[in-house]
Amino acid sequence: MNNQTFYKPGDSIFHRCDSRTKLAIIVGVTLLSFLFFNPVVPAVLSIVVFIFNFISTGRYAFTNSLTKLFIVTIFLLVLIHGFANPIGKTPALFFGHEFTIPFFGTFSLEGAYFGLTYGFRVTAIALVSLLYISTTHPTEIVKGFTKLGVPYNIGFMILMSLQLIPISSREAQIIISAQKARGLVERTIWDKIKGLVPLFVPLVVISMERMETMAMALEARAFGSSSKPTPLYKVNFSAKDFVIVIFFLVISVAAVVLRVKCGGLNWIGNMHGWSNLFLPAIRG
Amino acid sequence: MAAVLEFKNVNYTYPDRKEAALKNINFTVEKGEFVGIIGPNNAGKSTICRTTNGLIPNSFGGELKGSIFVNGENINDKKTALLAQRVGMVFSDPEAQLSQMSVWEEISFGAANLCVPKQEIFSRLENVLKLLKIEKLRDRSPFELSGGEQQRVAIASVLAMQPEILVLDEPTSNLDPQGTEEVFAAVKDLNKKSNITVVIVEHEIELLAEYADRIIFMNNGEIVLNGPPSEVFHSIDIFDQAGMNIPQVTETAYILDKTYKKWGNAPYPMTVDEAYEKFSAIK
Repeated sequence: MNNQTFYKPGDSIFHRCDSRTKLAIIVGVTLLSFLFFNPVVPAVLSIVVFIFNFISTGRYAFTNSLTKLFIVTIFLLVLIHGFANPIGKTPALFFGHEFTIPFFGTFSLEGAYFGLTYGFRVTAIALVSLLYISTTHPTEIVKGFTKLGVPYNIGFMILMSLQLIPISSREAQIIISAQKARGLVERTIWDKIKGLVPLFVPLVVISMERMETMAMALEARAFGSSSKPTPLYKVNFSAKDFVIVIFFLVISVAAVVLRVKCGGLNWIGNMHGWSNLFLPAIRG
Repeated sequence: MAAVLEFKNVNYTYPDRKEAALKNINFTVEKGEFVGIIGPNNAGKSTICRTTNGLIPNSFGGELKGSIFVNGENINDKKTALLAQRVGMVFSDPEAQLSQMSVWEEISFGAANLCVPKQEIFSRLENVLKLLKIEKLRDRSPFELSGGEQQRVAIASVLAMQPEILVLDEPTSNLDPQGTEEVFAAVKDLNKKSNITVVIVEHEIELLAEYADRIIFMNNGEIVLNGPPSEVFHSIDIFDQAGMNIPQVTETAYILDKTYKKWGNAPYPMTVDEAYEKFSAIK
């Protein structure tokens, strides 16, 4: 099961936080990264969140698939937008030369700015979500949702489906092996697509049967006899949770005020060189 | 001795079926008894289990006639969720009955659903962990355990609701021999040491012959034989007709008796130990 989820047990400050606090952090980071249209704010957020990840899960902050994926994503976005975004006016100079791909476009500073902004925005959000799921036990995630007002039955359903993923994938493996043992050919892509039919029919039937037993077993254990079962976990919304939530609340409010007063801190219309990607040109 | 479970003229037909699954079932189970129900497929064994905790007719529908009593109380119109704390039910597929992230949550789940106070739940938890010798599994995920362990967790999770009867519907049919032994030993322990009433549907006739106080043999929705193992397994013809096996040592004794006339009047043996004693007496 542990291989199937992102959860890494530990005892860092984020592990000890209430799951609702972490949800507040996610909301705060998302808001902050989308408030301003420049690469600096999301980049700083990404780095801060990455440090949070490192504090809570150590080396896993580097080795997990999400971090790697989003580093690649930033590069891709910068490349694609740099060459193809019609916003681009100022060509970027590589050692004094423009870089043009025929029929595609010239690498522009505005495009790079745009790509970086969006790249860091999604990265910040992805990493803060990773922080949430890697430091919160799935049960706690669901308990957190339940405390926020999601009905117990729906929370239970979510938890149950999480459990079913590894079981179903194992069953699918068994069925595939059985079909191969009976001569299922899988040489071409078309074969593989056709092979899905003999996989899905038994898988669906097996899953339905399992659901039936599960429903009986749940009923036999009094599921549904009360809509508010005895909570087995402590409600641990402690002082530090309040501090974190209030901290993020203050920053978010400050950011919204800044946004309203000073606009999006956007200098895409005033690009002169590479340094302008992260630093606005001094007006004058 | 008081009857914990009593069936009185129970008839039941599944929806969309013509033939009745249970035909005029009458039997009682006393407090602290270990009752084994055996019979060929479609004999109505699982159906009996499902009627004891209200899955029939609540979840399955169909027409249930007659009355079922748990500790003297008629349960015909009770909901399964309410009956759950009176009749604990364990199913054959160990994985499909487990739903939580860890063993201790799994075991606490039923009691929590019944709104038992937290303190009480945790004391029950420690208790059943000890009873079923699964203390070490406390924090593991139920899905990474062996079949025998999973089935013991399932039994523990039911016991934590402190039911009056434990009903097991083919608890070992998905297990390997080692898991089967584990589960049987655990159930026998519960029955002998904690005096929990056990009704078990099983195919492992050898183990039942050894452990059960009473055996109910069913065929075609009817109770054919009902009595202590030594009595029930004596009616070998009936088992033969139904295509069922009896313990091998009993059959050996039967053959010695009928074919070689070398038995005498002693009852046939049920277990290997008994057989050893009796066979060595033959000259």
